[in-house]
Formats: sequence, structure tokens, C-alpha cells
Amino acid sequence: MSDPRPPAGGKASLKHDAGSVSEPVVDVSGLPTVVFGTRTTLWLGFVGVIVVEGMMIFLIIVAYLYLGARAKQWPPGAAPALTASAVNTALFALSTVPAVWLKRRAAQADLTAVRRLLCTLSAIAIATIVVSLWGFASLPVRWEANAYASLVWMLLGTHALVLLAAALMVWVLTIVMLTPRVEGRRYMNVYDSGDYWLLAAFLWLATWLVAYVSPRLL
Amino acid sequence: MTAQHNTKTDPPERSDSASETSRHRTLDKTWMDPMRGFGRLMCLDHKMMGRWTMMIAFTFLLLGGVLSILMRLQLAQPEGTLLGPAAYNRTFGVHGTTMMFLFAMPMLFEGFGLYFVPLMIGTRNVAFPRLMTYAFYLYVFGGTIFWIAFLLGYGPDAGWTSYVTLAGRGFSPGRGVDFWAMLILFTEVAAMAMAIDMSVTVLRLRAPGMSLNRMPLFVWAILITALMALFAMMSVALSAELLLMDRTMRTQVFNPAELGDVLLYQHLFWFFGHPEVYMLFLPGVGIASTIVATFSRRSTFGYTALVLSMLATAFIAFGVWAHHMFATGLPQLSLSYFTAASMMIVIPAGVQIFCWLATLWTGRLVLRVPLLWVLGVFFIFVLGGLTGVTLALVPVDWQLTDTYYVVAHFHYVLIGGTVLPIFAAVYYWFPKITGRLLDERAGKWHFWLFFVGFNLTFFPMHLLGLEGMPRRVYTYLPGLGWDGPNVLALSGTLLLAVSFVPFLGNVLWSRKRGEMAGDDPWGAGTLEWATSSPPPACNFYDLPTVSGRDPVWENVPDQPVVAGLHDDAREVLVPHWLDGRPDHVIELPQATIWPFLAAVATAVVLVGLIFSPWVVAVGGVAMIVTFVGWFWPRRAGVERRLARERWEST
Repeated sequence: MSDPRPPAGGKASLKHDAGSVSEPVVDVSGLPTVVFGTRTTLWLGFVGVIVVEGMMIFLIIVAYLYLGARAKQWPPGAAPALTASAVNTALFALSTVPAVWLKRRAAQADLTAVRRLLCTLSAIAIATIVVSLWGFASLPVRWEANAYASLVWMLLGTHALVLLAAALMVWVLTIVMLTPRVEGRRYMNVYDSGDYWLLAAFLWLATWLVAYVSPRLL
Repeated sequence: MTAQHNTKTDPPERSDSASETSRHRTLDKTWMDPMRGFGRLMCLDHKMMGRWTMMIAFTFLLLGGVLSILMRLQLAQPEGTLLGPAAYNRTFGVHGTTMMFLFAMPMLFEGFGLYFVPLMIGTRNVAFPRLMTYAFYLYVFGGTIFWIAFLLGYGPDAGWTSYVTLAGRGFSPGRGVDFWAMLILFTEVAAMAMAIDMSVTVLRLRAPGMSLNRMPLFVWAILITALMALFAMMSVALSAELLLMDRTMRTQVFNPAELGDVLLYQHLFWFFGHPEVYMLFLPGVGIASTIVATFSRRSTFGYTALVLSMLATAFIAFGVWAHHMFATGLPQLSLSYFTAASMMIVIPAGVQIFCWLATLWTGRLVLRVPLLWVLGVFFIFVLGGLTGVTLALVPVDWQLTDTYYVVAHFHYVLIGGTVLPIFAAVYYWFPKITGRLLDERAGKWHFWLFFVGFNLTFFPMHLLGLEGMPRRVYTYLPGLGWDGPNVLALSGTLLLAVSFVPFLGNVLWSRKRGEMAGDDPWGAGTLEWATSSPPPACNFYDLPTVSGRDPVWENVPDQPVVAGLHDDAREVLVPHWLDGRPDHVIELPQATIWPFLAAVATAVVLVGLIFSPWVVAVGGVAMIVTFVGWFWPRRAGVERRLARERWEST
């Protein structure tokens, strides 16, 4: 732990005649201001984001399956080429390692490791975006061809937006953490950015299975 | 349990009143946002956002009301000539859209919810104030652009549901439906942002001691509504987005000729649309429960049953959407399931009504205007519920679908479950917002004119529906026997319009000259009444702790207050979400312009979706810039924050 921080004083306590107050008070002056994980408001807000973005991807997948169940042939033409998407799947799988590490190191205020891991994740983010663009370019049909094509573009486009948001978060935090006088709450942000990246990776897996793998299996 | 009313905690006595005054000044300075000129755009105060949302939503109610008068005038006689078919289509489409998306949900969830939830749970702001401001401006921009487009002749002409194929390019050329879809994206993004904000606020910022089973019922209602919104809103946002892309980017999702499906639109729309009805009704349940308890002078009967019934309503609401689609040729098994599920929803609704009746029955009634409105809810909402049971039966629905019977049913449900609770809430909470009471006599005039006007307008529509008059027609032929009920409906609508005169006069007069309210004019038990009227910028100079469901009634005289937060920073306490045990402290952001700018950039993107991908690209870059500005750490105060940091080892 390269950046030791002052520890919190512990639990809130019930006191009488604390300071200028003449009646009992719940003294919270010793409570921590920097905590991590499920206890933070940001984490809970992040759960809301997971629900909203997860519902978006989920509903597009439901629409895809709904139309697929009604079509004689689904997909109507060739399935999208696997190469780019497989590379992206590998990249996302790889990225989970620095993302999980990043969370751990952020909670320990290990600035050096956090900087290094953020730079790594930033580079992986650039790579996944480039490969995603390659994936769009290699799609066999444009979105206006038929409903199948429209939904595949919609699914991949929605995931691309999630990826862009996660990448922006990582890039901005990389710059922020490279500046001096880093506050504790920035480590909390870094911790949550790790979670957000993991969400993007998980949603890619769902997207990939539906758009690329399912036409070859079903 | 009969509540005790005289145990309300007095303001804590201080050993040093001068230092106390100075402390209050510091808190005022810390929490006050700039309120002059463009400074208002930086406001992050939940009370201001709540007030502004209420005022804007009320303006939309008036605008939607004007459209309803036009419709009733048009239909008051056969072959009316006031509105042509195209104008009539736009009028009813914009009326429904305005009332659902721009009035009801914003008023209840974002207006009353924003203003009162932080006060009722004893905290100083919402968990994410910048997200709140961003959502507020999205709502304002979306509503304004939609109405300007309508007034310029670009109103949607496919109804508030915009079903394909009617809403597709082939049958609805022009930009009207595009603006409708754009509005849906604006309001739903705003509602989802607010849902995240409100749920985190309720779960993590409650006063110490306010465990989940002590939360006020209105707060429960808002929490459940927020959770529903998180799961349901994306569905309509997606249907609107797919519709917009089918129209502007030539995607084929709803085009049967290219593997698309028109019923997919209806499934997506109603998977949101039916939960939406309960998202509108549940805050009304919360308001009615609050008011019934206060004016019965006792704690709510069946608190646990009420909470569980609201949760059950929310759960069942996600399984009944296809009862809006009985006439579309669904499989027999689906029809049976959705009928059963739709019937089931009367059980939690019945629990709610009976809990209120039991509270009233066993309390000591004080019949003031807010309670009068709640009694009106009983009458009107129950009637709407009963016709709902009839419509849940497939054979009845097949006969009555798309007739005026349905129009009568959903106005009874929505006005009974939403508008009446809103007026009850206005009379109840106006003293907290302004410090002055509304006039009782004018309030009674308002209620009775509204009540009679409402029933005169909508009751005859049941008969019209049974006689076969279809909804969404701009005129009808003479000799069908529909003239009389339509004239009655017009007279009722005019009476409804007249009822707003004593209301508006009352509000305008009372906010300056009304009787002073004091902190707790009704002798109520929830925490918003434990602070001054109107509340200070920081809500509570001494953050409260609670020891019961009605803290003002139940707190012991020496109930502790929270101490140890810095007054010169926007610090709030984050207790444990389940039992309200103090856990840690966070600092909320200072006033900032970035959420406003981010909302402007988002508006450029959403409007750009209609017109040009280049506009979307420019707006997208602006969005990135504004969001980076939003999240970029402030250097001001960094040394102070670093000095006060306390880490918990993990």
C-alpha cells in the first residue's frame, strides 16, 4: 500500500453534551468518508445503470428471438463473420483481469498500480473499439436490408455505446489519476469504473452469443 | 395503535444561541444555490427542482385540458366542423401524450417525489443532484420542443400509442410521429435517470433509525415506482427508438414485408404501458395513505399489508400487458393467462382500499380539503377499477375495445388514481412549500366543481361505448342517439375547466396572503413537518434521527440529532440501507452548469435523430465534452477534502 490514508474512527456513537449541543446526539464525526463496494451510493446507482442498460440489450435480444421464431429462415442470409467478434471476445475476456485487479488496488489506494492498470485498460479499450469498428465493417448486410439486419445493427450499436461510455470513463480516470493530489473519492470512482468495464464485457458476451454464435448453433 | 400527537420534538435547545445562529448561517451559505439570472441553471437543490417540475407539469395539464375542451366541442354535435379529421387526430394524440408523459408522471414522481422524499427521510438532498438537474432539463426541453412542433403543425396524428403500421412512414408521413418518438426518448431517459436517483436516495440517505419497515408509505410508493421505472421505461424507449429508426433510417423492424412484425411494437409498448399505469397510481397510493393517516389522527392501519400490496401491484403489473391486445388475435392460452393476471390485480388494490377504510373507521376524522380529495379517489378510482374488471374478460373486451367505454374506464382510473391524489397533495403540502395554507372554502368549491364535472364528463362515455361509439373518431352521423351523452360530456368538461378558477385563484392569493401555516399545520407525523415551512436550503439544521414510523408523533422528547458533519461542506450521512444504522459520510457536489449543458447536448442528439446524422454527430461530441466536464474533479476545496478524508481499511 503505497499511499497510506488516515483510517476512520469507527462506528457512530450516541453521546450527551457533545460540543455545544445540550441534548443527545448521534456523533458521526468518526465515520469513514472513503469506502468501497456495495455500501457506496455510487455502487447502488451503478446497479441502476446495469438494470437500464441490461434491459436495453435484453429487450433487443427478445425482439431478435421473437422475429426469429416467426421467420422461415433466420438469419435470412449468411451469418456475420466470426473473426472480428472472436477477437473482441478474447479482448474482453482478457480485460477482465486488469479490471478486477484495478478494483482491488483502488481499494488499497495503491496509486502506482492503479495508474499502471488504468493505462492497460485504456489501451485495451482502444483495441476493442477498433475491433468493434472492424466488426461493423464486416457485417454482410446493411441495416435497411431486413428486420434481421436492423436488429443486429441495433444490438451491436447499443453495445458499442455502452463500450464507448465505459472507455470514456476509463480514459478520463486515467488522466485524473495521473494528476497530483488525488482524492479518496477518485479511488472510489476507479473502483466503480472497473465494475462498469466488467458490465461492458458481460454485455458483449451476451451480444456475441446472440448475434454471432446462435445462428451457427440453432 | 392510536398515535400521540404532543410528542413532536421541539427545536433542540442550544447552550449558545449566538453560535447556533452562526452555524445556521454557515449551513445556509453551504447549501444555498445561486438563484439569480443564469445562476438558476446551476441549481442542484431538490426543492427547487421539485417546485419547477410541479409548475411546468401543471402548465402541461392546462394545455392538455384545453385540447380536451376542443375535442368535446367538436363532438358535442353530429358532423361538427370545429376540427377537421387531421386536426382532431393531432389533438387527441397530443392530449394523451401530454397528460401521460408531460403531466402525470413528472408531477407525481419528479415533482412531489423530488420535493418531499429527501424531507420525509430526513436528509439534505438527493443522492445524485447533478443527475436530477440533467433529468429535469431533459424533461423541459423534450416537452417544449414537442409542443412547439405541435403548434407549428407537426403534431403526431397516430394517437398517444403511435401503433405501427398507422405510425409508419406510409400512413403517417411528415414529422409529427418523429417528434412524438423524440419526446418519448426525452421523457424516458429523464425518468430512468430520476428512477436511479430516487431509488438510491431512498435506500441510502434515510435518517438514522429509519429502517425499511419505518419508511413513510409515500417514500415506499416512490421507491417501488422507481424500481418499476428502471425495468419498464427502457421498453417504451426502445419501441420509440425502433419506430424512429424505421421512419428516418429505413430500418425494417416493424415492416412485415421484410421479416418485421407490427405486434412486436405493441408488445414492447405495453410491456411499458401497463406498468406505467401503476407507476402513476402507486404515488397516488402513497399520497392517499399519508393523508388518510394524518386526518384520521392515527398511524396507518395495515402498514405492512399496504407495503406488500404495493409490491404485489408492481410485480403483477409486469404480467398483464397483453390485456391491451386481446383483439389482436393472440393465442387462446395467452388470453386466459392475461385475463387471470388482470383479475388478480384487484386483490392488492382491494387491500389498499380496505386499509384506508379501516384507518378512517378507527381514527378521529378531521375532514379538511386534502382528505376530501382522497375520499374522491375512493369513489372514482373504485368505479374505474370495476369497469377494469369487466374489460379483463375477453368476450367483453372484444365487444368494447376501442369504444368510449374504454375511454371512460381509463379516465376513471387515471384521474381517480392520479389527478385527485395530486390535488390532495397540493392542498396537503402547499403549506410546507410556501409557508401558507390554502383557503378551505375555495378548496371545497374546487373539489365539488371538479367532482361533479368529472362524473358528468366521463360517466356518459360508458353509455356511449355500450351503444357502440368508437373512440378516436372526429365526428359521427346524426340519428345514432349519441348526441345527448356527448352534450353532457361537454357540459361536464366545461365545469371541470371552471373548477380550475377557484384553484388557481386560491393558489395565487394564498401564496402571498394565506393564513400562516407554521411548521406542522395538520399535526402530521412524518419528518417533512419537523422542519420550518418552507424548509431552509439544508432542509434540517439538525439532521433528525427516528424511532418509529411516524417520527414526529413517536419520537421521545430527547430524541438524538445527528452531529459531526461539517457545516461548511455539503456532507450527508449514508446509513445502512436496511436498518438505518449510520455507515459513512459523503460530500455532495456544489452548484454547477455542466448538467444543464449536458442536457442541451443530449437534446441536440435527440432532435438530430429526426433530421440529420450530422446533427447527431455534433451533439454526440458535445455530449462527450459536457460529460467529461461534469465528471472532471474540482480543484477548489481539494486540500480541505484531503485533510478531512477518513479511509476504512478493506
